[in-house]
Amino acid sequence: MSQETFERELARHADGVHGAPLTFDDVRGKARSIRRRRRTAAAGAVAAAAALVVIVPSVLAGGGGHRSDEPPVAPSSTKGVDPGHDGVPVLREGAITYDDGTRIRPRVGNDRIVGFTTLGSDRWVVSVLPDSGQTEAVVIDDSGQALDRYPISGALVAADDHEAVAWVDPAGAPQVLVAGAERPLSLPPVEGRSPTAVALVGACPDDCRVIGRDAGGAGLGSSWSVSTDGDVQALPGSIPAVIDATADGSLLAVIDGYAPDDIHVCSGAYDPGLGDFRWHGCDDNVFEFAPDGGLVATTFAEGLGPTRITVRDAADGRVVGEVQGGWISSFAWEDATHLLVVRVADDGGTLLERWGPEGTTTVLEGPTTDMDLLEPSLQLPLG
Amino acid sequence: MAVDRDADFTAYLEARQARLLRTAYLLTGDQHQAEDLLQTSLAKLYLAWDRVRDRESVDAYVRRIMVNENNSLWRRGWRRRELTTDTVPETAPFHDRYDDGTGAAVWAVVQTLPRKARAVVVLRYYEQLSEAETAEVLGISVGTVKSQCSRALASLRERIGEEAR
Repeated sequence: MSQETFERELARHADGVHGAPLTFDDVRGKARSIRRRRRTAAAGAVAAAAALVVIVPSVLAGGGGHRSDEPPVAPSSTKGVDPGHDGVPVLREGAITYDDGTRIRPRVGNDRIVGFTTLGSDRWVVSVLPDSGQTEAVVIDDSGQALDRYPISGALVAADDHEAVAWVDPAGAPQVLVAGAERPLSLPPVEGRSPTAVALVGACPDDCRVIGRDAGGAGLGSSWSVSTDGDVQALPGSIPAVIDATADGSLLAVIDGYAPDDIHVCSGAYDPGLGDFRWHGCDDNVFEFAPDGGLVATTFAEGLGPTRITVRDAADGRVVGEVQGGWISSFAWEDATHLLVVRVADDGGTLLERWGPEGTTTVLEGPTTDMDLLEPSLQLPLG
Repeated sequence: MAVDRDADFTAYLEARQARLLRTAYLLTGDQHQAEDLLQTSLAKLYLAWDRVRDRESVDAYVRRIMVNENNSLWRRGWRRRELTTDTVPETAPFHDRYDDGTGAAVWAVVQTLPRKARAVVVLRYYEQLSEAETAEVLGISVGTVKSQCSRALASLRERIGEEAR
């Protein structure tokens, strides 16, 4: 048996396949539906999450990855890992891992982890996608044990100080879980189809707001703000899709239209105090403000995901740096001025890199390669 | 110009879709899934058409989309549920050529391969990409391509040997 046997028999098998030819209109119609879905996702789940999770051919370390087609992961052998541990953790092989090797493996069975964050110094919260398709937030203790599970509409978001997380329940009620609290605080429900949280701003629990949006009709939807004292506000129609906010809420990243090329979107940083955009353009659909709101990382993500990230001064949009090359699968702010990026380089190796304000990019880990092509090998936490 | 772009894309669509459907079929193992996969992948290609500046690399780009999309669809699980509730589809095309058993053995091996290893085999042996090209499309090392192909060949030899016994 040789390579030629495979070549011959695969060709023979495939030769019998003849489908009804697709027309340009078939493809364009499908593209339109994908674009509508992406706009919703970009303005909601994707952009709201601090870490991009895009499907790229990836290269991962070791077997035992956490995928729905594999057996449940073994319970964590580590006990008493402090969620307030120094450094930014990454999700690797289904385990939240710190740079000194400390690991905590959330016990979420076969569910795929799509996002994670620490919650103060007592717990982690992961968002998982079970086979049911209903995303859930799972609260994890310091041994990896799942304490509670909550169904989510849209995305899980974290406060920039990681002292609180928020999501919207399937009935449309924003939920805020604060470090130290046993149960989430349930806020008044919002109207609209497929609502999602996009940011948590202010100091929780006393003075904070969940900012979110809904899918709306055929357009960009609409955005809202719900405070922990129960005040529900519809945001102006001129800022239909809020996709991120600074920790103090002084700037909102907003998608407000479609670009002339009908591929990209028009977006920018909106100042609620000013009632207008500080800066605006027609390119990117993902924004992630740094913890202090001084910088913002932006990119355009669709298809296989972005190939570059632009770092801008959040106040005026001035470009201060760029990370590019390969396929970017995840990024998150390490602090006010350093951005962590997981990138699959052109040669197939996965790299964890740190971008700094001096314009340099430092490789922290990698390149690593493995057979697990399609799951991001490393995932950075929600901001 | 959008008109030029659409005409350009249409030309590519007409020239390549038959071949791409066969690749999709080998990746999915089911004609209906293959048709869905192809339509979705071409739609995503259309959305990114302006960014694929090098027309020589379009095939590589769409292959990458197909592999990722196929995994994504499968991972979401809805396809498996669909197959259990729908009328059982015709999952294999009709072949009227004589098969001494080798063809069936190859197909059986391909169908039992992990989805990702299967992509390696399809790109390497059906698309006849080089090891380096296969590695590039899938974002893996050349060594991984070699090892996965070796495993597939070993599986085939084992299967043929068992059937001969």
